[in-house]
Amino acid sequence: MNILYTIRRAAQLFANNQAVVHDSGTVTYGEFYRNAKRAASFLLQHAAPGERVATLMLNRPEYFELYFATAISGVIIVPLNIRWGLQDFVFSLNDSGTTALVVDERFAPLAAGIRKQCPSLQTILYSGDGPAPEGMLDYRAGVAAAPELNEIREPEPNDLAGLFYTSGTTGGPKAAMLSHGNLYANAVSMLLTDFPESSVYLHAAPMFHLADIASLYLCVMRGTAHAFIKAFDAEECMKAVARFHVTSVTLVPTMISLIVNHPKAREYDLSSLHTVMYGASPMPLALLKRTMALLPDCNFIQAYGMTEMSPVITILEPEDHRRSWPDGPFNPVISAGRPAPGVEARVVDDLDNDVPVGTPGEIIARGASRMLGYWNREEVNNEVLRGGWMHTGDMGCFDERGFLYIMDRKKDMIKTGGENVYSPEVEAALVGHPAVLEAAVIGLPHEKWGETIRAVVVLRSGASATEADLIGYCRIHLTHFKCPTSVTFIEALPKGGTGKVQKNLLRKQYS
Amino acid sequence: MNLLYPIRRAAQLFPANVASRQDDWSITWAEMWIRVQRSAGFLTELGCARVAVLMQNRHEYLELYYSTALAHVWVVPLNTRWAAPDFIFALNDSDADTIVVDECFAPLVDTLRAHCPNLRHFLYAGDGPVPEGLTAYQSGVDAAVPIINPKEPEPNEVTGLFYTSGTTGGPKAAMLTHSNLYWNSVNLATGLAREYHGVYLHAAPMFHLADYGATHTLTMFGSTHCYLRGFDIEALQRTIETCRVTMVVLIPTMITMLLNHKSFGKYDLSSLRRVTYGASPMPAPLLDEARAKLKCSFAQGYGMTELSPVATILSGEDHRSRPDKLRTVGRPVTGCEVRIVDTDDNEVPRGLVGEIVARGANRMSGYWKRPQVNADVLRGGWMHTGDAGAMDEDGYVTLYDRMKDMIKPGGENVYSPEVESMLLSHPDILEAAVIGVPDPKWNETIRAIVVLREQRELTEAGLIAWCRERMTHFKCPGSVVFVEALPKGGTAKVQKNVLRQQYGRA
Repeated sequence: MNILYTIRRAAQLFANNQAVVHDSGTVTYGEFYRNAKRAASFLLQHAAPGERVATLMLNRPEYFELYFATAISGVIIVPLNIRWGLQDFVFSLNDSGTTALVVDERFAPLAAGIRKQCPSLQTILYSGDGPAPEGMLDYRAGVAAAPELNEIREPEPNDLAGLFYTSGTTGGPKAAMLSHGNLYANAVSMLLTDFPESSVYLHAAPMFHLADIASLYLCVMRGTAHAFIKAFDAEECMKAVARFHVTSVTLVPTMISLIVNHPKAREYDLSSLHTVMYGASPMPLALLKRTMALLPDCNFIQAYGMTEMSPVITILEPEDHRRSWPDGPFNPVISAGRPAPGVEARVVDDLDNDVPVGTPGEIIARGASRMLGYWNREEVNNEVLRGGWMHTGDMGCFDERGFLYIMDRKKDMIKTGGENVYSPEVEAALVGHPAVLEAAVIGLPHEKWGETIRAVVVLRSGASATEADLIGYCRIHLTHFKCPTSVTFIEALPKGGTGKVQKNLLRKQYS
Repeated sequence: MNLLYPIRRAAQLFPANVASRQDDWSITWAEMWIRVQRSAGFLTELGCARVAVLMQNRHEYLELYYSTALAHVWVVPLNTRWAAPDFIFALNDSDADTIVVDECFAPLVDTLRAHCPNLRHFLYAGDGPVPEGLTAYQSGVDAAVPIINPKEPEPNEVTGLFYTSGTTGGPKAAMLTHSNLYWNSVNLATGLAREYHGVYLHAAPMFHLADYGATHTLTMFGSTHCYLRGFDIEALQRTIETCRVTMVVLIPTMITMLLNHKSFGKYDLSSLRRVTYGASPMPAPLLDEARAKLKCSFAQGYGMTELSPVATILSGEDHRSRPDKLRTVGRPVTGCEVRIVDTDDNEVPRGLVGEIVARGANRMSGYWKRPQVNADVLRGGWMHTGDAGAMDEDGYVTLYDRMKDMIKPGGENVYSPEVESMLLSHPDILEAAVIGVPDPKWNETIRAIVVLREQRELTEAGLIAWCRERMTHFKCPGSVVFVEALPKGGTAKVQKNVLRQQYGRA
């Protein structure tokens, strides 16, 4: 199966449903499919099938259209991380050998600089607000003038659909090659869980990211309308929910926290919202409870995954959120859920053998949604895909009900005196201290213990605490071997594209 | 993806759930997976390549569906309603080297042995002691070395040969792959997964895709399988009550029998959450009665063996909120693309009748040993169903007729079910079928083949006149033949090819 099927299905069964709801007007699925076919023939004027077209835009209806226009034309889409800097854009455009780039008003000013450093880049298309700046072709006008593409080659499931750069906390950025079959399989996996019907989905998380794309195809298959906010802002998000009667949205816990703690949270009518998907990190229980109180009728779905798995690996379903589970370390509400139907996940030791239930190990996964491999990274592929399984680099363990608990990135785990210490546990203890705003822990080489734990801490403004204070605080709350032996105070933690702390940088600077 | 995935998932995530329950015996998914591994070991030790199964519904049938997959052996499920010559044909056509029978079919083994030179292993998986000349399946499995680390089947690897009932020429086997059956089980549950969590009763025969199609969906969610041997109304109700069955597949005639049975009301059927019916739409009064009495959700599926089998579904939600669509067979399931085309394979406008074609990962790889038929029915990658239908603006499909049963008098298309249902509304008529008879002037005229109810009388002229009062003229039969009974195939469909042979001359 392929991505074209999803849009053909919508056009066949839900032709009169709204596909796009936007200030600029609404578009039905019948129209959307025809527009996408026009956009496909327009793209073919600037790139051949198999060539790469990159997108560097905030969320907008054209982004949605481009996911289908590229698929219909056989062009490979390369969505770029909007939080990157110029050097990353240049790197990824050259790495992918991109021919054409689509930018909006936000990124148009960077285009000239990018073009200079990217020899393969021939065309820059403008799909933003206002008229096209000089040197760029107007995407909207070009699409309007183009004929609908009618000679469409039906992609095979294993045909490449897009190159999706991963944020690169692990070495430089690399692109996961996701096929038509990968993206389709992910959508189906999600629909095999208890995923409520939805009439309007809001793209609030950035559309280059798989966290958002995961819902894109499944919403199309169901004839759900798509609404957009350019970039996440708590109030903009609430406004859009109220204005477009949004029924479902994907957010990361930080965004949820910004909404729940917003002074105007109860001023907007959020009652249409019945499904909130969240992912990228587990939601602290206290935040989850506050959110469920703000949105009492809402279904919550957590997904854990990664770009390389298109992206979902496990899902914590609405019912799992509602049930009251016995307290303890294996409370499913703080787990990442169970493997999604269609995805096989295991927890293994260093020799890829299963470890017993309750024992931590590396999480590995496979299924029809597993990436084809990283683009031009043969050696890395042989390593991370050995035996056909995606080695996630995440440490976790299963409970006896099949719920998976994520513990740490494998390389962030600290090994001290023969014990494994999972950094999130120590970090959670540190931020429990009233003076601490943010904290990260890393392992320092140690002659006797192998490694010893160093905390890198950002204090709240105006608050103060000493190294001894924090070590003492940890010793009250944690087993002795899990406590930091040294503390470094800094102004801010270095963060990657999706807000994750870049521990590789911390290790370089502070060990 | 392959068929090992659903059972591995059940064993991993739902190890303590009951997998299979038969009479007083039951087994968990953890245990089931071990048994399947042993059964696969047994089949491998025997050196089987094609395992035919000729049994009524029972646990071992389910076990064999998985162990053949695990052992990379093809399964060849045989139609329990066939007669010996059909079994012999299928066993020879499929090159089966092994057959598994139960107590019901053990007496046939000597005949099959005599006529099927390829058959080497005769396994018994039925009740009671093992008949002479047969090998015990159960003790073979118990003694076998389990296959722990199987070679993972490729998605496009064939897993079985599924004979289609053969109202159209002789029986032929659809080759279904791991991927075909996996994606069907996913397609039919997409958006409806909750309905497949629970206890499923295999009431329709397990050789048939109408039953087998949902098997892997249920397994994937750690649901429980239970079994009904032959179709018996009282046993059906008893099993629903004792096993707290939540879901069952029935055909509309079975539902009628159930609701009208003297024992209806005696058993607690309140566990039922969903009844799936197939093959034909349910008349509105029957549906109303069934919903009132069974208080559960109804869903209809349309499909065919060649599509593993589901093409469209009229969902429970459709039944509740779209009374205007109850005459349809619903909309294409997610993952299966359906179109209505003319004889040149061009899509016809909505509302017009044409041939239903379908494709998707659930489409068979082809008929076994029938390259010419494959080139024709799979042209352009689409399965040409041979069914005439129309799709409305909302994507709901109405089924009209088999293409070849359609009659063309004087340039008009007449769909035989329309004429037949009119005939059946006559108080004196028990059964009726219509066929086309060559006619020099009209190209074809309509002939009705009619079975009267006991002790009723009706003349040809009288019946034709009765029809003309009620139907457009060109749809009315021009001639009537009265017979004792209509010839029927394995799944109780009227064999029109036989009727045409006997009564089709002008």
